[in-house]
Amino acid sequence: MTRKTTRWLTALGSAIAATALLAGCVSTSGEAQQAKSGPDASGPLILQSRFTDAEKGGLDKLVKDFNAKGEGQVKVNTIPTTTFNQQLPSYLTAKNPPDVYTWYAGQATRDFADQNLLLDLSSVWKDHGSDFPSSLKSLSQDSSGKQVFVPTGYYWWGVYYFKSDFQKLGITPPKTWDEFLADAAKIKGQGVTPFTAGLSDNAWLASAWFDYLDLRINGADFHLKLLSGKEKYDSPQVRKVMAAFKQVLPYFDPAVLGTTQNQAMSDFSQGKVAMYLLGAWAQPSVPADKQSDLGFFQFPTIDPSVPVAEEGPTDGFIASVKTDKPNLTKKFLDYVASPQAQTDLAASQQGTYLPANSKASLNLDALSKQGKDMLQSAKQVTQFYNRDAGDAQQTPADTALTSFIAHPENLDQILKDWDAASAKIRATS
Amino acid sequence: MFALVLVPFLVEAVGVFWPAFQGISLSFLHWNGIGPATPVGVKNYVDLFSDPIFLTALKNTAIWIVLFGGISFAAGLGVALLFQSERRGVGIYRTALFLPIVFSLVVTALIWGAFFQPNGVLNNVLDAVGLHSWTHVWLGDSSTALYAVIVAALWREIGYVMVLFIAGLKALDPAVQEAARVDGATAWQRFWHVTMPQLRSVNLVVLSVLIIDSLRSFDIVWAMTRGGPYHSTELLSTYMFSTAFGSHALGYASAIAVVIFVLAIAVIVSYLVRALSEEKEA
Amino acid sequence: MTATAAQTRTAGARPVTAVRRRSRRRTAATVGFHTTGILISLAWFAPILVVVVTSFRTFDDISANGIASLPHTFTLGTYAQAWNQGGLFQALVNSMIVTVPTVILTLLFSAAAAFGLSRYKVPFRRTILLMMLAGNLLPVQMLLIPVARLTQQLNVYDTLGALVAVQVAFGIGFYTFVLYGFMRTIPHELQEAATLDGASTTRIFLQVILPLTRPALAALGALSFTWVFNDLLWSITLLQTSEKLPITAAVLSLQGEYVSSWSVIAAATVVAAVPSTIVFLLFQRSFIGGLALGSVK
Repeated sequence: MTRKTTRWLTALGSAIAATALLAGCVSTSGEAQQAKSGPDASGPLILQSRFTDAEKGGLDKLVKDFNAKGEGQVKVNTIPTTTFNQQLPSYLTAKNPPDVYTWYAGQATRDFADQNLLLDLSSVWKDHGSDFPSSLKSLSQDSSGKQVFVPTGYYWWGVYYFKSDFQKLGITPPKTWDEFLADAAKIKGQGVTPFTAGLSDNAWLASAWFDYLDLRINGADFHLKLLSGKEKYDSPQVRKVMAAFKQVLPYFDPAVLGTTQNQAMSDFSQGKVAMYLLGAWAQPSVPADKQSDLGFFQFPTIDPSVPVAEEGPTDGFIASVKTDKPNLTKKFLDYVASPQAQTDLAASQQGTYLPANSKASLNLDALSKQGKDMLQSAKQVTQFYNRDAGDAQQTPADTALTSFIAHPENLDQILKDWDAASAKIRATS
Repeated sequence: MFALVLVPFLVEAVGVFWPAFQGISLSFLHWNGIGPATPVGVKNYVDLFSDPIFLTALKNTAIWIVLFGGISFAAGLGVALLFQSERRGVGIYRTALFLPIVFSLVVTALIWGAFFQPNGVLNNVLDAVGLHSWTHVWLGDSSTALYAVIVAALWREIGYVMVLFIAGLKALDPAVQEAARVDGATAWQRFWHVTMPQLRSVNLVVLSVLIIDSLRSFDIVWAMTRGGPYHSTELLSTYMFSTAFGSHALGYASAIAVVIFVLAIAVIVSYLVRALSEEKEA
Repeated sequence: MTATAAQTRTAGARPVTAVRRRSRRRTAATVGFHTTGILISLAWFAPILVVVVTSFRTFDDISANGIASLPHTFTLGTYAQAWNQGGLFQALVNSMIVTVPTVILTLLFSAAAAFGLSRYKVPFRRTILLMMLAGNLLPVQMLLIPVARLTQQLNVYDTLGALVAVQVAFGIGFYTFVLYGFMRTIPHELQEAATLDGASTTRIFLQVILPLTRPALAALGALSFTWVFNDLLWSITLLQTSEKLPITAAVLSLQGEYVSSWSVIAAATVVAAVPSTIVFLLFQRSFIGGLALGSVK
């Protein structure tokens, strides 16, 4: 081959490559998002589940019972939780996506609904809507008002402690912020660390403190507006929240930023730490012999004029709009919404899960009952930072809160950076 | 005959190059993975260089390359020199050093995390020998977290480097070493003036591999600290991952990936051009 | 005594004391060597030992006392739980189904490409080699979604075969590069002799070059096995059905979102490490001999 021919071939090759480049770009846009009408395709319903092996017992029973009813077959794919969270956008935008998914309510679902990726489940709600509290109904809606989410259960957050430790320290669960701080001082004075958190590998735990302080000081409405970007972090309201956080910082384990969750839980179980703001999911990680000693109290009120709001993260199911078995999907989700199914699901969660369907039969232990009462008496229920704001917003929150814990004097810069990072993510995603 | 080269090349072209073009083209878009993509030209790149987190990650990656790369190189060479001859017990020592590579990261990260806990093994040992002032909150202190993670990463890498060097040392001509010894050269002189020059090509391979591994280091950092506390252990690779799958900004993540790629190419190309032109002379 | 007699006496004396000094030095050196070796090995092996010890503890023991404490319990139940709950058997089978063909195909393709590039005057030789290696420099995370899309368009998404193909494509660049270096050292005369004898290219490749490259192939085989076996990202991107997931994903699935039974996960990790360890031990000798010839010019 002559040099000239070689050069021509190279040029041609580059042109082809460029075309491939442009052609490649096309694959980023989703394919037509229309719900399928007409009869279902054959084959089992694919359910992508993020339940871990320890939790999936209830789901397996649910699926078995549904399959036995003869209306159709459901096949469960259990995917590791972190993998599931990462891959869910890919699953939903794939050419042949799985039909049904376990997921949670809030912005996390609305993000997908806004892109027309979710199946309209209003028919399921029409049949069962009365069984669910009305707050859950609005939670399950997308921005156009149709339901896209079937809730299965929710759990609570509280300040956990060991009853025998409190007795030893001479503390009773506080109801107000001042009592809370006084108790912390008393505990610290006796050589026990009042608070800890496993922030070195689970920085998002700090958001629990932020959420509750914001809910107690500014109320749920402001909190939700803040998380959806309608209010700024660099605002007088958030400054009040951070001031309150600063009050409680001296009572944290000084090494909290370097403590793993595993370490934090064992410190708590051993009595080196007195209190831990946790979700109910943490109850199983307490050693069996200390389970009966475990208790929790509601996060104390700061401003009595602010209506009490609680965090009640809700889990449930969503379905892909591209499913080729919409009828079977709706039948399955119909079953999922029924009291029997909801009872089954809750039963496998070791008492940390409250079924969403109010008609589900409950076998509540003392802590679950306390959690249920707490959530039902709350005026408003929010979901938790990442579920309300969207997963993408969690990282700037982690950065801001951990920076604040390390250097509270940098508050101005921290809040400015938080606003900038949050806005940037909203713009690019 | 051309098929010998063409078939593997085509396989790589389809499996790697074509997706790579798409990946690169992603960097000129804003895309969250589920909605339509918006073309934004070079905005992602412009944003990158004014992004304080990116600049921190760049700085941390540079520190990582120097420390992780440098110590792996020196320590790997050291243990290779130590364990190069086939004497009794050496197989066990080599295996002990290579075993970290075979064990999954999730659990080893947990163990290293426990090692660095405020009341973990390291601090307890320091206290016991009276060095209490040296104890730190290793993973929580932004000035020590990166170095703590580097220690864990080194634990995995040194064995691999050792194997590469043992391979190189085994190919050396022992007669040259012996001649130098007879001439009265000390061990250090023998090492520096006889062994090292002969190892030149091995050194280049190891350095390139270390640069590549440094730029790709992701798992151990992510498992131990997720890039925290507040980005003090953020590397280019972890930042790329968190923007892609945490912040759902795939276009931005692709831009970071392109930067990593360009950095890797810049380093490797100089080595390759030199190595390959040497061969032309050979 | 005359000078010569004194010299003779000292000349006679030197060998004896010198020998004694050398053997004492040698013993000291051996003791020093093994002490250093044992210390280094212990330091290196310590974290792995902790993993193994952790795998024999109960959940309550760890949650009450933390990971780093001395064990208070001993149980084999974690292994049973890991095996059953994690579906480790199916996952191990999947990992083998993916790893073994990948290693064989990658080495076959790389050897062929290296052979072609090193033995024949292929145009753009340097560019091709550089491009193939460049493929390995790309951050994998950037390619996950485009490749997933590609497999979906080709209708091979969620198949183990697609995973094999992708892993092979990604391995070819690096291994071609190393094998290229090695094949350059094989004398041309052998090949010329075979050509004179009338052997075709394929025969030369299979019967002359491949056997000579066997040490390097063994070495790269062990390396490649470990890397593909321990891969996680590609498997979770390209596979959707839980029965197809390999061992790395199975170990990950034992991790809860908030709460994990670390002893069960440790047990699963130990099980997952066994195949790669066996492969490494088997190939260790040829592993070390093989890479040598590839790197030194």
